Amino acid sequence: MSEQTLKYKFDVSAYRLLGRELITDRITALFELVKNCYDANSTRVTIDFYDVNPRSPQSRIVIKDNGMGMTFADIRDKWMVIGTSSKRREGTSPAPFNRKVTGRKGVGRFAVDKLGSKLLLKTRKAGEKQTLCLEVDWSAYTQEEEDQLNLFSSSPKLFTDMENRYWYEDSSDGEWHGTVLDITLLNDVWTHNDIDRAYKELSKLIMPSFTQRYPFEIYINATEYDDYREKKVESRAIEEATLKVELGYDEKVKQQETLICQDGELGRGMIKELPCGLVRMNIYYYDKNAKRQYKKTTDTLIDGLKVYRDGVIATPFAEYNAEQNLQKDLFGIDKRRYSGFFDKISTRDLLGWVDISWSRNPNIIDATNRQDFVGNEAWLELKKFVVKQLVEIEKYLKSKKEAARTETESQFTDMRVDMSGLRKDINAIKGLPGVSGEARQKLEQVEIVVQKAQASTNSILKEYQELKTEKRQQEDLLFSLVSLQTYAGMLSHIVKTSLGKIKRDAEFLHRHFPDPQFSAHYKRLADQIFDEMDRLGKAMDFMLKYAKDDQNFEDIDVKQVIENLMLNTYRDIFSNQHIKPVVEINKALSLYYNQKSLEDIISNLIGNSIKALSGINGEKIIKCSVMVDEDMLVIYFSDNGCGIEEKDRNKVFDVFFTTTAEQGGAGLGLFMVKARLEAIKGKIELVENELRPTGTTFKIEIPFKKP
Amino acid sequence: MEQGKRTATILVVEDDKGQQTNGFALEVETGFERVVFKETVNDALAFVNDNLPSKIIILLDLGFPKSEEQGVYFLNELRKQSRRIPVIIWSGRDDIEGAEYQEIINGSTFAFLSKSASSEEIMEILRKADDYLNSQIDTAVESWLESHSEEERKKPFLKTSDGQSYSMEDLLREIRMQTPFGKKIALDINKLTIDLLFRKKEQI
Repeated sequence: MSEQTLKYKFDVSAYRLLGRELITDRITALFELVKNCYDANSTRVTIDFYDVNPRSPQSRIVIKDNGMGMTFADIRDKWMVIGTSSKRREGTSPAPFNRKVTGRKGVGRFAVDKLGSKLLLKTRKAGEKQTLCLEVDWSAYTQEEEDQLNLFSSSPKLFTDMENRYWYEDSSDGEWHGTVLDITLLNDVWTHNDIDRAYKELSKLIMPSFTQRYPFEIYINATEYDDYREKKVESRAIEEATLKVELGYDEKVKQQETLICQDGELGRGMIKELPCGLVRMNIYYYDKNAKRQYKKTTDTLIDGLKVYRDGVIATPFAEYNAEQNLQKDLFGIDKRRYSGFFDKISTRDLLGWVDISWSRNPNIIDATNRQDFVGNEAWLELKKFVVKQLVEIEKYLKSKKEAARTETESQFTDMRVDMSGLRKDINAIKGLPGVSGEARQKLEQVEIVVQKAQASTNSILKEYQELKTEKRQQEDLLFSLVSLQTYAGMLSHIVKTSLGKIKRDAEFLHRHFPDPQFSAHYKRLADQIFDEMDRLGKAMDFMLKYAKDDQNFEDIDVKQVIENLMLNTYRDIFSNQHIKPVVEINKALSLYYNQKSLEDIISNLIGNSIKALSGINGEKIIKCSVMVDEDMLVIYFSDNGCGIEEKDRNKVFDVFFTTTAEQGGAGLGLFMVKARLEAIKGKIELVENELRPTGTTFKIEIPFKKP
Repeated sequence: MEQGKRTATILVVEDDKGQQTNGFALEVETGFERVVFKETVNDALAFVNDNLPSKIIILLDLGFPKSEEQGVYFLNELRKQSRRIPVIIWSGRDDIEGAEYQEIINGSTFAFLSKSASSEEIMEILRKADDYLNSQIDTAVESWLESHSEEERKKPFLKTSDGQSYSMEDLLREIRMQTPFGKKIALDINKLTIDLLFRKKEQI
């Protein structure tokens, strides 16, 4: 038998499936596209949203940068190729920017697909006369995809067979170079809230306020939202810093500003110009909480100090290292052994830059490998100066910590650490060559004592921690009881009102039936009694459920809970009613709360939305997006249903308020949602509908920390 | 006027629409000529303002939607206009305390009824309030008015020293509105009544 070969084939649906795996949500999609602009040495990116709420044939997103642009070869060999790894091979963007490449492997095309079905790409290299245009029409691809899902499709077309039109245009806008992505046939509505989320995500790409020669600026425009008019995206990273230090110099008297820690206070002083020349320096120190906060607001790492010369990064660059441990520690910050291990700042607690220039610091010279500076006096002095600043900060932090060190647990922890240090030291001394046998014996005795003390410290610490956990549990219980009491008060009000109504209806029947004078009313009174009893029953159920549920607080995965509800539990109902569920949560978020309660809250809102959508023709959407705002988990829950009438807006949370009595509404749902949220110091409010033209949006806030 | 019905208007200030169709409303209608429901405090105040000269008894709920004026506000505003109208608090709450409690007492409320009260209990209080109103001078003046023809009631009837002239109906209005003149005339009528009554006490 003769040998033959088989080729892989890649059809359109496989391509799109792959895309959906790679780019899970549209905020990420936008983020990836803007990262590509950064990698292309752009200094300015504008994102324009046209008519994106509600979605219409005019809806359009345009991303324009002033980067390098692409040649025909770039388009053919990179843009049109899936999984191009050129970025990874090179690691930095071309000189003089030398930006550390941020974009992921060739996912830009998928990102576009996530945003809309049709792309018009225009690109021009600097100095070129003509603009290269490429049209990619995914709606054609979708047709192809559908055909492929059809079993009897006669000619399955491969992805690689799809043809995309390209042409050249004479440019009208003079000197411009860069790339424009003009995306139409959008997949989603972009509400104000969605653009806020995009803004927040994009702010992670921005360097903290620092004058660079090659800055990177992002502007957002949205025709429909007044506060997005050339709105500049700003970094929020520095806001989170625990300590912000800015040092300058006085050029006239040739003096350098420096930090001095004295009597527990961090002050500043002036010293004579050092051999390295005058420098400007910004240092941001992040403690544990600040670091956590930083991670939430930015995508960049807290990665130590960098040197910029005349606004361009000098070093470290061109050394992409995913392993933070392997990254270059230019100033030797992590190698120091000046102070105790626990008081030492590491590169991971610091963000900052040293600003030098050829004119002020001519003696600091780049090493030929461009990884370092030449180890001359100027550079060594600068290193010393930088480290000195850190030492002052460490002194300050240490004195602050000592002053604050009253909490038992931290003392225990320190004690334990100190003791283990002590044992190490003892061992080290024992191992020294000059130590006599007698001394060694004594040391062994000391070691045993330390060991015992260490053991009891450990057990005390453990007990203390157990006590703390127990206390926390008690607090939770107490907390849910207190709120239960409050709501028991409200429920007694409900019950009284309800019982009163039933009683008086029955009383009337009892007193007057069958007096023909009132015969027009008897049936109605009987119906009212029945309905009121039914409501009362529901109120009772709620009260019991409330009493049962809210005692178990645990760390729950918000993303999983909400996705499960929106995409699984309600899947059949949604598909029967032709409702499109949209869930926008871009990462797992852990919330200390009761899972059942969260599910109840979302289910209630879903139930309301389904009712509100029942009379709507056209696209029906129920949308739930989750974001983080400081210590709050914020959920926006929206539908594009009939909306809530102006006169009712203030009453929707009132007990027994309902506009859907015929559909079985008892007016308890939103009351219950509000009650639950208030019990945990959360909030729910009716905000302007984010989906246009009609609809409802609820904003829910839940504190991450228990009150 | 239907036989046996009392003439006072019962104004129910209550946001819960369900109460309008409740058995108690029918029951009140069997005993009083007119029952009016107002769902907001401001609507109720406007109603009182427009009908001040007539005999009104108010059944007042305390809790309204958070965004709206509450029952206590109604009471305060009403008392700026008239201290004479009996107000019966009708509430499901049993936690009234502090400033709110003080305001309710200072608002000269007539009685407190629970939301779970029976129609009979409500009627009993309403009848008491009506009796109370009937023992007041303005009501006495009103029934005295009824013994006169329509024409007579509208004619100038009394002239004050400063030349102001009042019809019988004006007189009633002045007393009900508690204008300075109304207050003075009410006081004078009381004094005179006592004087006349006890001057011939052997005839009582």
